[in-house]
Amino acid sequence: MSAKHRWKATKGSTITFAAAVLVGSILILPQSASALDQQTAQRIAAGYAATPVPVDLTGKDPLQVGLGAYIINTTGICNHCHSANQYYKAGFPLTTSDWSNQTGNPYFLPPPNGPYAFSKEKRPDGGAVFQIDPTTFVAGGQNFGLVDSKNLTPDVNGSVSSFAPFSVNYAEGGIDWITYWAVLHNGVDIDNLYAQCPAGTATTPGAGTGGCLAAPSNAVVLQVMPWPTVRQLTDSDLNAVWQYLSSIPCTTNLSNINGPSGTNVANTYGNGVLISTCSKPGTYKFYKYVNGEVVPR
Amino acid sequence: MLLEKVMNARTKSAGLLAGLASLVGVALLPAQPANAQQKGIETAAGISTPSCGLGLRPYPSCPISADDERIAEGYRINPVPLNLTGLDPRKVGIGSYWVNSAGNCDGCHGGTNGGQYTSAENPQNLPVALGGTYTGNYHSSTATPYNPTATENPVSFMGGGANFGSPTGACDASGMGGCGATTLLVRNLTPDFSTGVPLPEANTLEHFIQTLRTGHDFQDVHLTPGTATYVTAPADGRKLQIMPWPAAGSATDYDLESIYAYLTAIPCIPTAAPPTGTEAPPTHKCPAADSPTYGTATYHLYKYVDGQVQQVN
Repeated sequence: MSAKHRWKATKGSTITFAAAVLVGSILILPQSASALDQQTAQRIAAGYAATPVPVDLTGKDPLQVGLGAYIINTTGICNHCHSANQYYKAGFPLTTSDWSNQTGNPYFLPPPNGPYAFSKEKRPDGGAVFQIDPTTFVAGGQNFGLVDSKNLTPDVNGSVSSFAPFSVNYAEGGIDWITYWAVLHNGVDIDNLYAQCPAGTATTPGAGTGGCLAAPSNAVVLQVMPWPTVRQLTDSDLNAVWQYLSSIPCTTNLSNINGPSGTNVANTYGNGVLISTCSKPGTYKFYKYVNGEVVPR
Repeated sequence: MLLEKVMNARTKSAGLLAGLASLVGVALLPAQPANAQQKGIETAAGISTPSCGLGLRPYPSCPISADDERIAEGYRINPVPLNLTGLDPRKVGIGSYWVNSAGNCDGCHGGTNGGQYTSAENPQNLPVALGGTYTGNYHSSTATPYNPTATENPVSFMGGGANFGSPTGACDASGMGGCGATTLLVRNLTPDFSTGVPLPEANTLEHFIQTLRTGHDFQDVHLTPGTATYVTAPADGRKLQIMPWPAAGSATDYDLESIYAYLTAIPCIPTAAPPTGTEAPPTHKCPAADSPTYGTATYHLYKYVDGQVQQVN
């Protein structure tokens, strides 16, 4: 991510914030304690059922992570755009637009006219069979003309957080909660991919490589991402989304697999536990929400 | 106002900004207003921060939202007058919350006679002061009464009609079907009054939920060979194409019922005439007296206060 270099220039704030952390250890604030209504409890259960990747709950609120999983995987439909190709492909490795191995793709016909072979009823509890492809899950890389969708998974090397000295995996390449909130509310493109074209000139393609965006589009803000509506989530629900995105495994940046060849590095799964090559070490597991408790599947 | 902050953020270190905002926010935390809508706090210094999650821990957490907060937010961000006759106002609020926040349904389903935002009200456009068209966050010129706390264009809200088909009939590049079809019209989600009662997308609740759960297209517009909407293998023409029903359909029963209730309450918009050679979904019938004229006897704006809906106008 191009943002990386700018964040590295913020050592001063890291020191300031490290001092604040020491003070904060005295002022530590209470975690969530409000009563859970039945509708929200159902959403948390549905969220843990829907996540196609295991999560690391260390340091997070398990209820918020489940709710975030719900918003990302159901009502928010995030993976629809933030995946280069969202449905499970038998044999994992990404291929081209040969659809023949997309056994998880529900838009397709079953054999003999199509590859669709997924059945929710047959899905084992451990998450070993997927409808959504976990190796591309919210890892970005789908082309939208001007830009590719961004990789929302954590990136151990790209942390912008003042907590970076500690072992954290933050959403979207390492964005802390307050920065994430600001991005979703203001729409600011922290990767700064486009310049504003001079008045009277037209948009030039090429995000990050000299391209520019012409008025009326505002190059400062994300153009395809629907942040003007996503920011209407309550702050708590947006925090749930951030906690979930901070809990999922890292996936290396993907290019649109139907376009120029990508640089995907598939993660390795064993017994429902992901062995990630780009996250800080964590314990990634599938959970379920039963009788008010989040327990491993 | 936010835009200025965005511009500032680009010239400063965002890490520093976030750190400062966090510290200011922590100092402010006890002063959170009782009627806070769980939205951001504007500090005296003009730095906007989230209203929660300001604890100094690696993964700061907000208290989980109660549904009452989502309902209030749903009414706050709903852009159109509503007919609540016979509907559960809590469900209508939750439906609006999902449709108008994370779901961004109007992003694709916004009608072709105006789209999701007018150019002057599109937060993704360059501000007027910088040579663009964006004048502010809220509606200034559209039909009245409008909801001053909503941003989406009420005139075309959920009217559908855009074409998502590939000119060459290629399958959707990201795997959402569409193979063979050059015309894939976005459906009109506003209620159809052909049967005398409002039915979103001319579907009953049972069919609506089945459509989202299974993708089944009750209007069967992709099954006739020779038409521009005909879908070929490997895509399954019995199902909706492009529409992200596999994700949306994983929502809870309550949330799908809520979305249906909300789509029942919004004003009807007539379906645009379909292109020649296509099989179009049935044309919506709108009752002349009610819609899309706002502020009639049955369509009103509401807010949700202390567990009750209150009519605003």
